[in-house]
Amino acid sequence: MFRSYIAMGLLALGVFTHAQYSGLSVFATGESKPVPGQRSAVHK
Amino acid sequence: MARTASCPSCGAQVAFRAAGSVLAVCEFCRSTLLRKGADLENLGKMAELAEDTSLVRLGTEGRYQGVHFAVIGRIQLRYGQGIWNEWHLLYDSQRTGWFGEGYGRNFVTSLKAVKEPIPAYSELKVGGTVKLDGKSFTVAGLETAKCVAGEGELPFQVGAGYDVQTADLYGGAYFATIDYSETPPFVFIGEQVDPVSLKLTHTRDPATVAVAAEAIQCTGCGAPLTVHPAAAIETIACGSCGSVLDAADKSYKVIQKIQKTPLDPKPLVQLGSTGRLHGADHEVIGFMVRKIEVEGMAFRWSEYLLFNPVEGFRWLTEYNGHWNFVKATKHPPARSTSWTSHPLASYLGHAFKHFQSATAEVDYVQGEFYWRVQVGDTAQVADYINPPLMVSAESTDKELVWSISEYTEPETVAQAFKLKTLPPRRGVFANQPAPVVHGRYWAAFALLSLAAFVIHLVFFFGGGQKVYDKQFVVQPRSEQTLQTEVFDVRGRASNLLVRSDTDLSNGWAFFNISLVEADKGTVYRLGREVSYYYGSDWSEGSRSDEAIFSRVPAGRYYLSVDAEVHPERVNALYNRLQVVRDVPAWSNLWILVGFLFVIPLIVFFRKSAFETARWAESDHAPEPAEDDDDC
Repeated sequence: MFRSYIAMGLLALGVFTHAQYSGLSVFATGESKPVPGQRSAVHK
Repeated sequence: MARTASCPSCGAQVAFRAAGSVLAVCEFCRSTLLRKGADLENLGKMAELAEDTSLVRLGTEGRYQGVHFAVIGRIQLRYGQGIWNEWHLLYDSQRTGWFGEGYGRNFVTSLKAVKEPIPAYSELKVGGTVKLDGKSFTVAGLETAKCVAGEGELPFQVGAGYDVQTADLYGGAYFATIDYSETPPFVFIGEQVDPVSLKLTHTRDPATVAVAAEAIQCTGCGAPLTVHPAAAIETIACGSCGSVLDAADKSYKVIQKIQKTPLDPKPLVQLGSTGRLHGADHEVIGFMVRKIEVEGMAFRWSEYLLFNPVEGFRWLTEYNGHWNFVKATKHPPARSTSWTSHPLASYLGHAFKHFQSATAEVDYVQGEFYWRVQVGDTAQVADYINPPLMVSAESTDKELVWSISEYTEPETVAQAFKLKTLPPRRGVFANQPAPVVHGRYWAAFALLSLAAFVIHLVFFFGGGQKVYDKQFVVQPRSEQTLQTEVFDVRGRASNLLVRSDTDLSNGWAFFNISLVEADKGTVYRLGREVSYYYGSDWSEGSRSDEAIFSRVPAGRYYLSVDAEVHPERVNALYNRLQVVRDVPAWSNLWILVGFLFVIPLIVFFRKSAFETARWAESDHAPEPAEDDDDC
């Protein structure tokens, strides 16, 4: 069981590292929605 | 330089190598010769030595504390516990000493002239303290020994039947014996030793040492019995008729008669069977049941006496399916108390916690024993545990003996003695090791959490680039759309943190924030309400807000913010917008740590439940909570 815990812990550490690298967060609040063609009025 | 003389009985040459030797036994005719100046007086024939399994003999050599010695004499004594040999040693320095051996214990001592007054034998009590040679000793045994015989050179006169009152004492690593056969008494001080450390040579061949069992008949019923003469057996209990026989003088007279019933306990490991434990073959020669009474209930356990001609005596104990392998300690543990006032015993650098004290009574005996045992014999027993080990003190008014037990899995016992089945274990035994070692789970949790923290800090200090920072003004009582300049977001796809810092005061503001990718038109949306209320001694909410956009790829972006302020506000609202790139989420770290914490916590509760069950059987069981009676 101890070995399983170590393996599980290392796996979780890997997932955590990937999440931090990718900027993922459980509490991220923004949603992406592609709206084609929208531009800033400034940059038209 | 050895002095020699001719034996007046047979004419053989008798040597006196030690200057202090006054008596010698002729090795040819066994005449006891007392040296009187240049002459030898013949005191008669020395009695025959009792057969034993000692590998030491006259002429054995060894080294103690770096000094070579030779064995030049022996006194064989019989105590209540059996036969004991005291070998007379002559060191190369011409100093003499003694090597005592019996029932698995060995000591090297030498005669000491002590300054302290020696207490009278009648004043000594087991467990009492005596000061000798500047050290404090505890009385461990009081015995009246009888000399069986002698051989070789001895520094005093001995003969068969010669009685001597002795006191054995322990003082830390030191051992002492006070011999009251002379006035003033002799004091011998030394230490317990492992015979291997003496590097003995010219010993008896182990193969020739007689260990074969002899068959005799029970004098009570005629049933066949087995006795091991070389084990210096004192008592044999017949399993057929319940007679306890005196084996000391070979008359085997009946000294006790036990009432036999069909309910008599049966040994799980048969007498006469041999099993290999701890690297040596042990024969089961005795079986005993002892009991203690706690709150009117009797708790019985079995003890199996094991014999190995080289290792000596060991024990296997069994209670409710739990087994222990037991042997005598090298020296008595030191007793103390912990800072929580829990009694402790220290042995070989380890602390053992007191578990239970009780009066143990012999309830049943069968087979051979190396001391005069009878049903009804009692001893005060105190157990101290450090699983899987346990040290136990057994004391009577004559002696205090310490033993160390090691918990042994039933499968190991079954395999050693080739048993098909053994009773299953019930409950938790005193020194049973816990099924899980929770310390290493906490260590693993700490290391993994530390690694996660380090990884988080690497991302924390490696990221957090501010890509936009500007203050906006939102006019009251109007809905406005604010639009930022385009800003660059570089690097890998990561998150963007949008922070709003306002000057809200007892009000709210709502922001619809759109993050627009300037070239492709991709939009990331979020709506955030910020509110802050306060009084003289309270506050609620916050003037600031943070929101995260995940997995935003590199590119050129701008923010479009639709702002609405609560209608009661009359002043303009200041809002500082900051956009920070690549901010590692602390929430991810806490989620990981919480996840890793679950298993060690479960293991901890399992261990706690196990320890609660263990200590429930002890003298230190927690008091049960009182139930409230519902009327």
